[in-house]
Amino acid sequence: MKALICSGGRYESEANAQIRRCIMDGWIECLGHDNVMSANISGAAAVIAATAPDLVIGIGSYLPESTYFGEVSREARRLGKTTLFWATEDPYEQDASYRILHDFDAIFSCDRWGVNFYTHPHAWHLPLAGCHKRHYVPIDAESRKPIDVLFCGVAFTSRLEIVDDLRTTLAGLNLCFIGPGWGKLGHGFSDRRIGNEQLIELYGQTRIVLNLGRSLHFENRRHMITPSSPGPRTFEAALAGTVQFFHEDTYEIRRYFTAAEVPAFSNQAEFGRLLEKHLGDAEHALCTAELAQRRALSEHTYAHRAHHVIEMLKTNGLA
Amino acid sequence: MTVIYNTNSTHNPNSYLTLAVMDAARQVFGDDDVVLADNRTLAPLAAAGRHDVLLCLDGQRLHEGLLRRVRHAFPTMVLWLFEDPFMLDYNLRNAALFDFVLTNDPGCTADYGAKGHYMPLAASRRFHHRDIKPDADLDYDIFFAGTMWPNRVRSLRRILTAFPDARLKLVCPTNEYLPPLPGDLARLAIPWPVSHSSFIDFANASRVTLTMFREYASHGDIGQATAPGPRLFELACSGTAQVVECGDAMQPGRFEALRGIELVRSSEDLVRSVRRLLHDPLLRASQAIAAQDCVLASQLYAHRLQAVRGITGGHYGVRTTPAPPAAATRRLRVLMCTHSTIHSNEWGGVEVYQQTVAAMLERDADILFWLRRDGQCQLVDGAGLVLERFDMHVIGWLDSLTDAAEEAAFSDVLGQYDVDLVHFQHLGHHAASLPIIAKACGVGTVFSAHDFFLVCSRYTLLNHEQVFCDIGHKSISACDICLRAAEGLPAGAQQTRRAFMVEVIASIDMFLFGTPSSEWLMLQVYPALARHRRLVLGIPMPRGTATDMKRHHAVAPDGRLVIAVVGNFLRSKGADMVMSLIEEANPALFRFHLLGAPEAQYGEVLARLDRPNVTCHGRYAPGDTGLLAQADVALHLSIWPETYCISLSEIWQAGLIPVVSDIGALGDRVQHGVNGFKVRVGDASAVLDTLELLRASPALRRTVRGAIGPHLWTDAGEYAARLLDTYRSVTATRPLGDARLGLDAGQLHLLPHATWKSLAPPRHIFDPSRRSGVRLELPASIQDWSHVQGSEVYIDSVCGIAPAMLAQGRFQPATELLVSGWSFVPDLGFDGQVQLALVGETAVIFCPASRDVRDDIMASFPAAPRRSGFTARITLRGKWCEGRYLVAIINSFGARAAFCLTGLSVTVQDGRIVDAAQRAPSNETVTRAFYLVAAQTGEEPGLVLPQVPVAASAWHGGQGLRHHIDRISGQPGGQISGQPSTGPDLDAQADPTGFTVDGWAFTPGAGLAGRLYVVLVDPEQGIQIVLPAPRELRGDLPAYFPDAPLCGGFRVRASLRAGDGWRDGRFECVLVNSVDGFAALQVTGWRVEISEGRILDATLAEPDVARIDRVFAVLSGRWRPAAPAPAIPIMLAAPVIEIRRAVVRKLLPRPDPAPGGRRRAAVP
Repeated sequence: MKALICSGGRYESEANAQIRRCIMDGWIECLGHDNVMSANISGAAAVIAATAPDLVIGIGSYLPESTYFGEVSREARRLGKTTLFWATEDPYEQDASYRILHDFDAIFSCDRWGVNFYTHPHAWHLPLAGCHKRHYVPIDAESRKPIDVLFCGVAFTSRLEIVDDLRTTLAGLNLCFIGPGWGKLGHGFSDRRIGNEQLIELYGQTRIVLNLGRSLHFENRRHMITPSSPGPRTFEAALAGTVQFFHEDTYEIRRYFTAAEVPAFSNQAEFGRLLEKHLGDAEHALCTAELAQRRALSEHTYAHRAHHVIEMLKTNGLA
Repeated sequence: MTVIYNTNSTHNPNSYLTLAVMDAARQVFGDDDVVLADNRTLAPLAAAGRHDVLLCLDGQRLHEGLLRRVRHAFPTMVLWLFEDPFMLDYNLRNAALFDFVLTNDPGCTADYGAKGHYMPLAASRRFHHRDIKPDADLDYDIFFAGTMWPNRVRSLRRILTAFPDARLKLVCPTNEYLPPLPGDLARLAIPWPVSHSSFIDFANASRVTLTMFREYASHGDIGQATAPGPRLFELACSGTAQVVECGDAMQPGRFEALRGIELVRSSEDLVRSVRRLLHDPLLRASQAIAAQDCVLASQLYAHRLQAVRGITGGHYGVRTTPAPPAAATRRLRVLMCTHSTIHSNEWGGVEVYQQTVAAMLERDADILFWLRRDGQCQLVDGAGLVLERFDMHVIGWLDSLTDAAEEAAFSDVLGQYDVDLVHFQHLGHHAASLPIIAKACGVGTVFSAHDFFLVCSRYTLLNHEQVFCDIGHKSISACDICLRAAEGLPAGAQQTRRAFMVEVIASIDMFLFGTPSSEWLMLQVYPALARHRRLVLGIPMPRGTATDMKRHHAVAPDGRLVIAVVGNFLRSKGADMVMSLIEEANPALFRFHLLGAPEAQYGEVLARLDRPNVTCHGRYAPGDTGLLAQADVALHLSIWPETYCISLSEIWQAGLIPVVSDIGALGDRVQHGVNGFKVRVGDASAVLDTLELLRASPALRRTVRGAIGPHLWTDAGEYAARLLDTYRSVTATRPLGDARLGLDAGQLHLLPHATWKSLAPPRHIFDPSRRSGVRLELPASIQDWSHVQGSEVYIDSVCGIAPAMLAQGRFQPATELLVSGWSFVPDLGFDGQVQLALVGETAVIFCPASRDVRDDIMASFPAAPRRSGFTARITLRGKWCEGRYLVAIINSFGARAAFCLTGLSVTVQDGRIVDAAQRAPSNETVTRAFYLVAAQTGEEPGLVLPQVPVAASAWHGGQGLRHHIDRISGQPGGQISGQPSTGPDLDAQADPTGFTVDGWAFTPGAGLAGRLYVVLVDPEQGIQIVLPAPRELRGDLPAYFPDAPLCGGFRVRASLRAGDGWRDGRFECVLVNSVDGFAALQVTGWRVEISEGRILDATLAEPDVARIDRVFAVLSGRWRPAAPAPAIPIMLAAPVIEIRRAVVRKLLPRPDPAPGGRRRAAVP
């Protein structure tokens, strides 16, 4: 089976580009290097015409008005190939989902609750994952971890509110908050943007990684869908072998990790207890990280997701 | 068949209810018999006539126009309301549209008369069922999620205090119409909603889930429903044990259908039920099982829909043969959407065609026109009379995708002028979304592809080099190159346009093409077009075209070939090549007649042209082809793929031999060497050669002319019949009503995008802050009051009006309260922070103010700080904050604050500040306001706390308090003082279940009053009853103690019947003062005995060291059951022992001598 991954519209964010590369790696792991190609959406139709892949996979955001999959779909269908889209930005832009309804045989949504709102006859949930090649780091119990608490991501309102609530508990710790919007909070907070590779390196120097949800919705007014699935950082951090505390505004985390693997908190008191337990007990922290990494390696890489896609398509007679 | 449609079309977090009902409907009525509609599809579904029942859900945001539109298309229309009784008034206004009204609230049934029926919401197996978890697998003890109506806040706070060690999961979103969460709740809860699936998952993972119904009127007077909402059934299905607290309006009978739930009416019962379930896992499991079984058996949406079918009796089955079109028996009304009509100055083939159709169908149809020109949209009748005008902004000729103004006006016209269908001739000047709007209005849509507008804004498909782009054989990358070169547009613009046109195409019922080539090209670009009805119909000639050309085409006497160039003289029609031919052709051999209006640049050249063999006739009337009789040959040298070319029909009919470009319709229609000649596009030499061949060969001319006949052009009569059939085939099967629709793209669930030339609207990466500055509690940093009415405060303006002007009635209602002025604390030397406190009858609202520089105040008051100004801005929404408020200014500095009640008062109503007044307050008013403000510590007076709310590290042993108990319940001969009350004024003598204690206490040397707690500790049982002690003014204390704070007094009023924290026992009365993170305590020596929930006695009895030690153990959480062991357990670590010994010494009762006895000082 050959697969072509199409993405890279002009408004693709670096975060999405990173996920696209990881998805690509997952499919390569699944199908082999020679059977997977990636093409920019602008010329993907020509690539399809020339290479006739069995699966044409659109991924990423469907929100930019210029993201037009009509040509890709046209060429794939002309050749009788299967088209699918993996919406990796759901449900934050779900009002725009009508733009992909006609062009794909199947739609996979990264959000388990949001997928219910698709009217497409073949819409399924497919959570994001981690990349074995890019995110897995063997755990080194002896490594120095100068950062007590790390968070990397945009300072959305929800995240600012959570951190504001945790400030007294975080006082005195060596903090590293990186991403647009954090700088105003002072020492330990920075507006920098860093690459995914740098982030994985930072994970290795960190005792606790915060996993905080997102409150910014671009176009999600119609159904006001509250996201349910954890973001990709959950799986990435687990693969990187770090302890992460998950802010539990969704119970779906437990579909992927147990509380022993990824502990969760809902408020300052619970966070304080987790912090005490993990900062004060290196053995316990190591055990948590190892359990999470083991789980991610065995169930939550993009290769697992690729296998799942193929299975779903076959089960439903689409491949 | 049934159509299910949720009226609440946007901003609807309960959209899942539609999915749940839809899922159940498929089970009950069958997959093929149910269809889900939205604003875009409702009217088309109604028009299709295959559905008999319309089931409208929710009732909110009901689009009255749209439902009026479809009313007569559905024999049965049902409205299932979800928001009664809170939206009863609104729902009643819409009820007349429906045959049946199903209300979620039984108390509202009668309001809808005979059509009203009670229909509760329910659960969905698909969305709500979870397997019940074993106790060991549960993650939480207590779970609650829901909007924080005020009653829920009260109950949850009871739960917090009753179960301090429980594993809680609280999801407590608020909104701008609700009061902010109190601090204790806000610290524990997630303040935004979770997904519905997580809501169910959390319940499933919790021992007990709380259900509390709303007791709050957002508007009007109705604050409670009379029956449970969907949460009751959803949670029962989720596999949790549910405790339901409901108000008086809800009768127990409403819960009889559901077993396994605990129904309670008060917070006390709520706590008791929760406690019972938490303590008894078997009970918990059996309740969860019973509830789930019951829901699955009878409380699913599938059960509800069966009931709906029983009530309404509508036809829910499939109707395979729709009725004939409603318009078949009357004249059609056709709206032609076009860029211009023949009444305009400029017109071409499209305008001619429109006129032709209007003439052909004049007996069968009324033709109207929709135009947009010169800042107006116009509805014009067939005679050119303007029926309606709508002022519009300019949107460009070919740029616009959506435009709400035109969309709304267009839909209004469609809804009110009984239009059966829209025949789109061209979308130039218009919003391209109009076909989408038309379809959403339920009318038929026919699109004539006169050019390639749907493919490209360069609708002739001439690229940047003015050459046909041949896009049917290329990718969209060619468009990127062309549009950048020709118009400077960025790559992606064409993709934006195409993506939108896919939606436009989806809304068109029938496409009409002139010849197969244009259809083919469109299909290449939009394969989805294959699923639409299409006709290749050609284009008829206008009336007046000579139908019988008898002329003999003999060679002119001078031997010259007469050549006609027919049609508007445009570059796209090959004007450049014709000009070239005129230059090159030998005037002795060829004569040219140009018929048609020239483009401006050609007009000038032609006017200057001094060629005896060229005649320019200019524009000719449609069908007026008499001039053609002079010619032998016609040139049609278009460089774009024409979609038909009426003039080719005309010249054929006139017996002329065409020489055409081999492109588009010209290439389709002309058979080379048979009925004309084809040359490659732009090949002038081939044209010249062909002309010479024709001139030289009369026999060839005769042969070709012989092959020309009516089969080459469109027969007008046949065309009219087929077009009429087409029109009738797309009109509504069932009648649609007249209604003002006002639809725009946004209402149809499309993301409005004004122009395809702008690729992406700006989208910010930060979302606005959701936290309001409004608080109901004093800042935690304020631990003492330095002044009451002792600070300098002046208000300059309130909502833009000086307070002095208020008496003149000049206040204008405002949407927000804006107060500015200046304030400082004398002798402080710096500005401090200002809070605005709105002091109401029951509530106090705090709002932080910003500081402003006021040099003018510094000039007048040398002691004033530079930033003495302040501005406070506060938006007050919701019923909770309606009423009249006195305005106080709190100026805080460090842990202290100065209080000053101003003379200003404001009145809040319906989310606005409706009145403001200025009047100096009396001392009594000041005192009362101060006590109200000072009491807002976030702790509920009289409510027992589980422990003293200080960190474990706060117990540093304390240094003892200066204190005195003025009186205490159970004290012999005690009397209740007449001091202003901060809590329930219970008469302990009359009510032995009331507990009162008054006195004063402060930490020596601390300089601050801090927070004070009266704690009843039974060291034998390890029980503590912690009561917040609101502070009171004691101006007499500083006379005796220089370090006494202004508010050294305290007063506790509590009821032993309230809350869950009271126990029987023999209690030491202890005072705990928390200041700056340190807790100091004092055993007062008063011993209170409580038995069977009553105060029996209060006596002074000096405790021994061991008892005091055990008291401290209880307070600091180190108490263990009494054992025959030393007073100080030897297993404790040495440092702790040291501390505790020190503490014990200090905790010995040590009443201060003055101000002594029961003498009470007057309020300063």
